[in-house]
Amino acid sequence: MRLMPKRVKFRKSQRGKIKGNATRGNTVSFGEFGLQSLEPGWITAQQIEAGRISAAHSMPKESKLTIRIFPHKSVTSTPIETRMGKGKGEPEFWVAVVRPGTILYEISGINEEGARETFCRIAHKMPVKVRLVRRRRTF
Amino acid sequence: MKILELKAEKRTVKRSKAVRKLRETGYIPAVVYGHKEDNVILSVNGAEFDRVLNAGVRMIHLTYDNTKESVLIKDVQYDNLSDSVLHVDFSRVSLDERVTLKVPIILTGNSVGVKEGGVLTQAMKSIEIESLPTAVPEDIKVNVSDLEIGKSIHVKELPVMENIKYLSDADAVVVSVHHAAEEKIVSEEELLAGPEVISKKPKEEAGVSEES
Repeated sequence: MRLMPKRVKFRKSQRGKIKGNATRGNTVSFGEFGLQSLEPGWITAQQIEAGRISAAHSMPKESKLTIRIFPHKSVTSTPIETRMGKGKGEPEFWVAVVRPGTILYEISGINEEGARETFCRIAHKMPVKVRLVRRRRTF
Repeated sequence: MKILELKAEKRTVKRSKAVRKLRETGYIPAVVYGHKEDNVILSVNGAEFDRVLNAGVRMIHLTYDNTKESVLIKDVQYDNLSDSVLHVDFSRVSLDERVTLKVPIILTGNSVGVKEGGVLTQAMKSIEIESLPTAVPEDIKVNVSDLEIGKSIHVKELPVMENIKYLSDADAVVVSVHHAAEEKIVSEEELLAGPEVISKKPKEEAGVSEES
């Protein structure tokens, strides 16, 4: 699975600051249960994929997992044993920027017990604290 | 549909700082509007309102300042991190006047298509209906046990209920079963190449511009 953008305007980006709570992508929209981030942080494409694979091992066939985040941001690094200077390094990996409240994954077609077990497996792969949230009533 | 009683108090505090203090005391700010009458700002007891929400009702007899009104829960705002209710909107309704509102769609049964290896997708989680306030269902149950792979249930095939009219497009898909999409295998070369840069001009174009 390719977890990086197909086309970008700029290959490298500045680090930025993660301020406040999520105001978008903070409600369960596609499934019955969601995994919500409780901390700000960067989730790498590898971690997202690791979460998906670990979930796939425990999920029943009829259930469906939705990934709600995408790694849009590139992170650069300079190779080891390189002298200072000579400009910014090359993009090494891609990350998704998450704020507290962001829904990371959603699951449907499964009961709460199963969803909790699946999300527990994903939580072990995440670099942020997470919790299970249920879909809210519609008004 | 059940109609529950809820007591409220008229509220004088308006500003966010004062409302925040109100929430700390266990009350939730609320507003009542509709029927060409003045808006009234209220506060309701948080625990009492939770009891009403958990009962799954939409219609309420709201009592405040010696006034009793039939209202519909129009909107509930939540704090997404703590799950606490931040604000409630009530809409005045007349019990003999039809209202428009959204009702969740609940799927029942195990689909035949899923047993054969298909994937069930619920495209519509809730549907807009028009009905009498007293006849509003808690949810609309759709039986999917006969749904095969490649088949779908549309709005026009939803169970017909007395005094209820579906307002969504009749041909809109509610739920469908389809074959699982195959994952695209991306070669290592493609992964190593990285994303295409939009701002980069193709070499030929760049050459032409240099010559001119």
